[in-house]
Amino acid sequence: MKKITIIVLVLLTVAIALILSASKDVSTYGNFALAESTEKSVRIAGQLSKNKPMVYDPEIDANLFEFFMRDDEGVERKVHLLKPKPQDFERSEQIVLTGKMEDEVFVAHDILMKCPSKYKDEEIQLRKAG
Amino acid sequence: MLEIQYIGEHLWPGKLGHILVLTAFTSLLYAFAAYAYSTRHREWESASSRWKKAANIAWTIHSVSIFSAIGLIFYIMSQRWYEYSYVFEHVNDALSMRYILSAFWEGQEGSFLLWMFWHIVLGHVLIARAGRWVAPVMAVMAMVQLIICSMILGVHFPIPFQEAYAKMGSSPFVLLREIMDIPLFRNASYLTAIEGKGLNALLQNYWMTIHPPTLFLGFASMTVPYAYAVAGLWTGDHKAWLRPCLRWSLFGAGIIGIGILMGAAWAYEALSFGGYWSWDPVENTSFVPWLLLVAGIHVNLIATSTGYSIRASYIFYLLVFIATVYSTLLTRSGVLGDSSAHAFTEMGLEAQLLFFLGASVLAGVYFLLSRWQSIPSPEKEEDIRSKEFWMFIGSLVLLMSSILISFTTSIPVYNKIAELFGYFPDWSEPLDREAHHNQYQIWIAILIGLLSGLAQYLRYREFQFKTYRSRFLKHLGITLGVSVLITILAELLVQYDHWVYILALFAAIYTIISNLMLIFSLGSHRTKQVASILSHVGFGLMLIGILQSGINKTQISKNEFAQRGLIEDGDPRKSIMLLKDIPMFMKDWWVTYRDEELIGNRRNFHLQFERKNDQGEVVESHDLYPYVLYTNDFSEVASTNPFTLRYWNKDIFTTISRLPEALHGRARARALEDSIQYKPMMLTLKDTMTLGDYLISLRNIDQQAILDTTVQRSQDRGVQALIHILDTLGRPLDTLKTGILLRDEFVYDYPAQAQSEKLRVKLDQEILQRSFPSDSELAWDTVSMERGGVIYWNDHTIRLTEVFTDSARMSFQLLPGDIAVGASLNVSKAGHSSEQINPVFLIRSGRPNTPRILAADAGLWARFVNINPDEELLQFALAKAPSIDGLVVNVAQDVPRTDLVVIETIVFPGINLVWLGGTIMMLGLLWGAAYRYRRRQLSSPQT
Repeated sequence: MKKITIIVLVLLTVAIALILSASKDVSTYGNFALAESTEKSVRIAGQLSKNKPMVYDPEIDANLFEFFMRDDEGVERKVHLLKPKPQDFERSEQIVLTGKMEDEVFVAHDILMKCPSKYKDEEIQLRKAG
Repeated sequence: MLEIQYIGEHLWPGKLGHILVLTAFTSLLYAFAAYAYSTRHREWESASSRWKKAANIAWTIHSVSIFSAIGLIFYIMSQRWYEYSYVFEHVNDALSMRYILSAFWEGQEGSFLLWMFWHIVLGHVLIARAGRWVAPVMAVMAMVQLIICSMILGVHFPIPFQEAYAKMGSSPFVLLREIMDIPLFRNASYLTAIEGKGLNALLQNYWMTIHPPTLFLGFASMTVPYAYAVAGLWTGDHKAWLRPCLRWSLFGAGIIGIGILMGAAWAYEALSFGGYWSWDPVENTSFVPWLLLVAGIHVNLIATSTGYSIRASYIFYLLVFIATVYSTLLTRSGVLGDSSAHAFTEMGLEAQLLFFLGASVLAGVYFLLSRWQSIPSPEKEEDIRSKEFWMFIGSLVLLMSSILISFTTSIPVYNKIAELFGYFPDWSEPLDREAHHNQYQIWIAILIGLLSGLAQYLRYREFQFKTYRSRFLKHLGITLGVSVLITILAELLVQYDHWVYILALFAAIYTIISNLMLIFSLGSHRTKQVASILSHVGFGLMLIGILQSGINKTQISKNEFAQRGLIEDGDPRKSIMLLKDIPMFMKDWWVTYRDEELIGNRRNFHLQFERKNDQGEVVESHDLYPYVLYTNDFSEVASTNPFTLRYWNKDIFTTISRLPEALHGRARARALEDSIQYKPMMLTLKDTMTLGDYLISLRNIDQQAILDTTVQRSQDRGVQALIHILDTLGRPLDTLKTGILLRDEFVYDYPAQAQSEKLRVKLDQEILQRSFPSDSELAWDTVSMERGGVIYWNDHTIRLTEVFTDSARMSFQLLPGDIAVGASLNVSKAGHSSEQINPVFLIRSGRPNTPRILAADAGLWARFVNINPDEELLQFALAKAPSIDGLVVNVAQDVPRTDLVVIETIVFPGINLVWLGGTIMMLGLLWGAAYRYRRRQLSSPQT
């Protein structure tokens, strides 16, 4: 066999090994039940509980935002997000949190939000009179 | 239904535009067929060249049509003809002309046109310069162009045997009312009622004016190598295409690299992601074609220098095209909507895009497979000590890098494919995307650094390594030794704590040293190697910059005096709150939030950064202005934009991570004001009342306050109160001015807030009624006076000091045609300072009009009711104003402060090396293209 063929084969093997290891990073969304059963960080998708209080007071702690989230299974937990309250938080349709359970509270260090696009709405803004 | 005759529409550009697009498509179809025919009959010289000439003419017609269509779109955009959907979606009245370009390519149709524009330009260069390659190369260019052109065709045709229509492409010339069915369009003059949506506030940035055209020029120039590769396979001339293709690949890689760097600069400067690269899918999908193109350049170099790797060159250029196509599909289909910050919105043409692009890829693969056996490939294999061997390994490393990046970027695609088979795996991206990619790509960078340093000292087609060995080992020893020494010194400075980082640092330094030292050993071959040296040194510098700004980036927005227990895997708390005018210490800086100011739809926050020495003297001071941009209608915040302090060795990057609720745009501000619970309090002048932990005292009532300083109307009725807030011992804490304004039946509140006491006050409407009673509630009394005369009325002494006709001095806003006389009355009352009022007598439309005016301090209403010219007597009506010595104030307690801002500050050391290295690398590639182009002209003009 040619040397180059051998090297290509070796690199292919390495590539496959790397992809297998990379695919371990691919995560699926968990839920609060999973978070309660593990010590590790999990990623949970859910919706904001709009009727529950949201507390963000930068004077007390600029990096603490408290709210309640309902996961896709319908389980609701209190969340401590260790970041300032994100912009347009109230408008979010879906929230994805990364963090872990500590006692009764889900402590999240990262958040992703899905918001309805600001520019997709089919409404037509009418020109204001005058 | 009756056809509505719409008023004010301009229909000719739509019709003309549609004709232009159709002409462009038809002529392109002809050009494609003619180029293909010319290639097929290349043996038959005269016919072939006739077909080629005809095709060139068709390409020119296509060019003129597309350029005209682009011009036409700019025209209707600049005219703000909102009847056109594309204008409506991307432009509004307020958009300044300098963003018209950005607005043009904000939408899919515009960006397709931009892409076609560059294909046309490059096509003409090819026609003029490519010699015998014109026909086959242009046939492929025309084929790719056809696919893109079909995307803006906007033609509907019936699907056989079905009651449905299929849509082919989406025209930028479609009317708004053709795609929307809403009641508004039953109004014939609907145009007067609508205004466009305007350009996304995020894109209103100068990088966005030059980044897309550069990137699309790069994408367009990546089609050329693919075209040459297909041409090579097609004509069976497997060697001659390599040289011209290499020039175009160098050019394309340089341009697309610059485009990517600009995108990174935009992300770093305009977005608050906190970095220039976040492995966002859209970033990745333009980076992967670039990586493959660079790999392609290296195998192409091997092929032109040694005759090896011709098959690999074909494969790599095909891969470049496949990656470009895949990138187009991902960014334009909406698949990435969930995982990317800046994918296009869906266009509803995914199937069309997928079909055509898939077809063009298959065409390439078919050619490759059918010609595989005829592609020359040397029997003797490469020597392991030859340059081509290690360059090839380097190209494979780049291939591996692109496979790994694509694997993760495609996760949303796997979900989509699984859905087709009825599975919903709901895979999501890695939890920490950046760490995920970085852990693999750092090894790629290390390998590339080591290989590009090593291979520079090896020779092509090595067959006598024995004679070269000692020289090679000497070079290797010196470069390795110097690099190790520099790495040790650098490590003392940067202090990386992981051996992989140190290895990466060494790889970067090694490639820089190795390539720089090449200059001394090359002698007369220097100019030939400039491109290679520049690119590799640039790569090394950039790698150092990436390592340094990534590893040693530090969050300094922390209050170090109030740090609580650290959390494992790094403290996620990155932000700090600043109160107005209260300095906060972080790291080396005293930071003070000074004020904020709204300019257009941008709110600037003025922060002051001061560094002090041990004596407490300020040694360095900077004013920072991070800002937020509101959407065009001010309803909400569109983006927060950082401010960067630049040093030669680092950047200090500050962004706003939270602003007060009340500044979050109109909607939030209104919701917030509605949620505040006010309770009424009756306050009397000079009296003090208790309010929770504070005392509140009404000091003054101004019944003629000018509250709106931007617009003033003479019929405005404004009242303003001056209120003191004191502590329980009576020490003043804050002074508030709050007002209420009546303008044309509307009442406007001007609330005031005592920030640290968390009190918010506004006046109750009752004061308007008491302060401005209706005429019938007042007891009017008429008096006559002559100029200079004095009368005594009730407790008042009133002197008529002056009569004037100068309209500028009137206290009442005059309309053209008004005849007006003003009088100056000096009103005084015992115990009060005297006051001057200027009542006006005016005749408007033949009728006398006598607006009333208040001498607030004296408590007197006056109007100038008549002039008797014969006796030089002037008549005034006077009425006593109800005395106002108190009012109802609505007070809310525990209101969130509005004078604070939460910021995040990051120090990026070595960031300038990223920009410097990146730019040098791209310039190296472009230099290579230019050098090879010049050399081609000097030697053989036919290839």
